[in-house]
Amino acid sequence: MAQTNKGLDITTLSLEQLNMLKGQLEEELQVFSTSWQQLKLAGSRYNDSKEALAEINPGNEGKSIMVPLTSSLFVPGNLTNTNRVLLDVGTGYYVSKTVGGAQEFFDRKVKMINDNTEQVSQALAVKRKNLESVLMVMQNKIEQLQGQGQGEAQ
Amino acid sequence: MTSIQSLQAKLEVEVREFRSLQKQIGNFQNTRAQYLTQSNENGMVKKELELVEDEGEIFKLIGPALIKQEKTEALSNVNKRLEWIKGELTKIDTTIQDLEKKTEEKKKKVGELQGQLQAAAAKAQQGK
Repeated sequence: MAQTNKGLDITTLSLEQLNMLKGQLEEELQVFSTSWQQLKLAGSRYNDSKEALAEINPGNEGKSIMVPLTSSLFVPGNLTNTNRVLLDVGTGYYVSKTVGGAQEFFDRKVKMINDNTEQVSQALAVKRKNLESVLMVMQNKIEQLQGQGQGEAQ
Repeated sequence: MTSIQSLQAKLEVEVREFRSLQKQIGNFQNTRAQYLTQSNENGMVKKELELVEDEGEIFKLIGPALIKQEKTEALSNVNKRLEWIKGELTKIDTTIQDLEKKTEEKKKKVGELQGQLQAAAAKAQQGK
């Protein structure tokens, strides 16, 4: 419905229809805002992973680390293999990659998230503009009605 | 008077069915969105699996254990899942289209009944 309304001249709509359109646009705006926030969150998590990955290098080989057994239980261990890491690629699959390959993986993910964030930002801007137009037309109509009412009273 | 009452009763029934159809459409659209998400996620996994070199090992999380998998097997599993999701998506799309058509017809019926009701009410007013 939103697509056809962009082509429709909104000044031809009644106040009630404009109100409904306003409500719909506000809802869509809400959805896009939430998506944008979730994308930002996911992006920062991938960046954190990438930074942590920088510590997995031959220089740190043999150093002691704390290994999480649960989210609140750690055991001391030693960093032995600094060449390969295990990556969660989704739907329960894990892939063993070299540190370089893992960095590329994170770069790919971050790029994908940035692309999606860009798309959402653009859609968000368009929706905001549409909402503003609808609000303006509503304001005009209300003023027109008020002017008519005063004219008739006189 | 009774014709107005019977019209109102009919209108109530049609409106109720219209609302229930809309709710069904909403539920199916939610499921459809879920399938779309799964399809995207599996698509990404497939791309990553394809990029795995020969020294790379693939594991699948089965319960609390990571089980080693062959690249060919993992890829075929993901592809099969993608095919299944695509099938479910087309099924749901047809169902949603069907329901939307029925909803349109309901809407028309509701509009007709509302018109009839208004006409009958106007006539009753004139009769007074």
